[in-house]
Amino acid sequence: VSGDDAAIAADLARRIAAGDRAAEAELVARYSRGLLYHLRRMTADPALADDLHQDTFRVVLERLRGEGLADPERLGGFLLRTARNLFLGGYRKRARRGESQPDEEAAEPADPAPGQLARVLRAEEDRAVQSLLGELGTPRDRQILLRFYVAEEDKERICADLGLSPLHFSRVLFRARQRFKELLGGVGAAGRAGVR
Amino acid sequence: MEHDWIDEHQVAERYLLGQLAAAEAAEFEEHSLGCPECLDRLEAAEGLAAGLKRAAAQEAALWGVVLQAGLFARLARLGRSRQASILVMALLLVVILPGGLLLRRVGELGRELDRARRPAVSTPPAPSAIVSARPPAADPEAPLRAARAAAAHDAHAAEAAERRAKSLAVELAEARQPLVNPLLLTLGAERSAPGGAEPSTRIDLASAPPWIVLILELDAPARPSYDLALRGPDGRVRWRGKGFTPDGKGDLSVAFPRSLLAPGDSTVEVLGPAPVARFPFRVIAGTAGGEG
Repeated sequence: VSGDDAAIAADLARRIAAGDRAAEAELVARYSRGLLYHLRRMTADPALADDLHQDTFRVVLERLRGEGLADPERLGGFLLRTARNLFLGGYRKRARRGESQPDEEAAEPADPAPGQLARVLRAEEDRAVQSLLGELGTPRDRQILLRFYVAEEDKERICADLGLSPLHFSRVLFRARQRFKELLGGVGAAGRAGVR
Repeated sequence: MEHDWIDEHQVAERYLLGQLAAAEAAEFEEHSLGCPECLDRLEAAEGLAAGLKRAAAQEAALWGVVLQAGLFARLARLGRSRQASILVMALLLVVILPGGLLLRRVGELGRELDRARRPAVSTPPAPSAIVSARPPAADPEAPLRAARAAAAHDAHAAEAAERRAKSLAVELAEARQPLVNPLLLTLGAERSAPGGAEPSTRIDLASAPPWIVLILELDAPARPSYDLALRGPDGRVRWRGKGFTPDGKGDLSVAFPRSLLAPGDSTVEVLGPAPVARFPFRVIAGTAGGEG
């Protein structure tokens, strides 16, 4: 965690402990988007992620108002651990109560087909990817993207096979990601995590 | 975390692909929580990866239709087995498509060579053409040398792709063999901190059969399924898979091809939403007839 991250976290924790309501709003504003992003990846269930998002902030704020954190500079880590524990705790509780296969229900929704919004967003992503592939300067750049993102080969192997410098590799990936964002235009990716 | 460093080392992309060491992943995750720029990186990389995978799958399906005869049709029919289909996909994506692109590139370079030779024997261009053309190079042989160097470089890449195709073909041939007397090893979860004790289980690569089955004893599994990752001696993830269900005894059994293992200390990680357990083991190069 960088010095800036740690200093901001410690300051927020200290002010919330001192009863500063504005600091509580700042905490939510600073971490809300990131927490929701990681919760959606963690749960693969947007509705559950939304619930846990609320619960996590409630638990963390109660803790900060009360006994506080042993390491306030790691407030971000505490938020993530709390979110994970709440997620896992939900499974354990349901398992203890003998509820039927909560995970299977989550893993196999009644309608496994993507919803309308997800289909639209995917179509936009597909168009952006096709445009990006068409714009790439050389076939080698296309090969880099496919081998890294699709075949999931590591950078060293790709660079060795193609005789690339790490700098060239980094540039291709950086430009591809930036161009992909531009091609997606005003439709932010923020909402995609929950529907992918 | 510095953003230059994150971009230079593709930290966001490697986080999504599970290629970061555990400590680095945790650090980036914590940083990204309050960093809109890094969340943008993650979301863009996630969308790009998903779109590329769909595009590649469509291309692979297209090739599957085209190549319905000979070796590739036989390979495609092996898709009933997950491992075989992965290898087929890898062949299609890593070898055939780039190979085709390389061939096209070689053709382009040949044409560039022809064009580079032409000015030496043709009449000077008209003044109007000079305005829009590139300024003449000081060394007339320079474009030729550059084109030859580029052609040689791409030929090298084509050779590398061919070597990789042969390697994958060998792995595919091994994957098609029935499992006879696979090496069965039961592993217990690591109790001490990572790296605290030497792994007690050892696998001798020289005497091990092509497939090694690791039986992972989970303590009171709480989820119906788990993700698995094999981390090699260098700390990098060499394989990972999702959605494996423990058997009636709460164990997970996974068969690894010998070729996936490298000498040194490796670990199979069982992952839920967070790491659940680690199963370390040691791989030794050894000699035939050694401990398995």
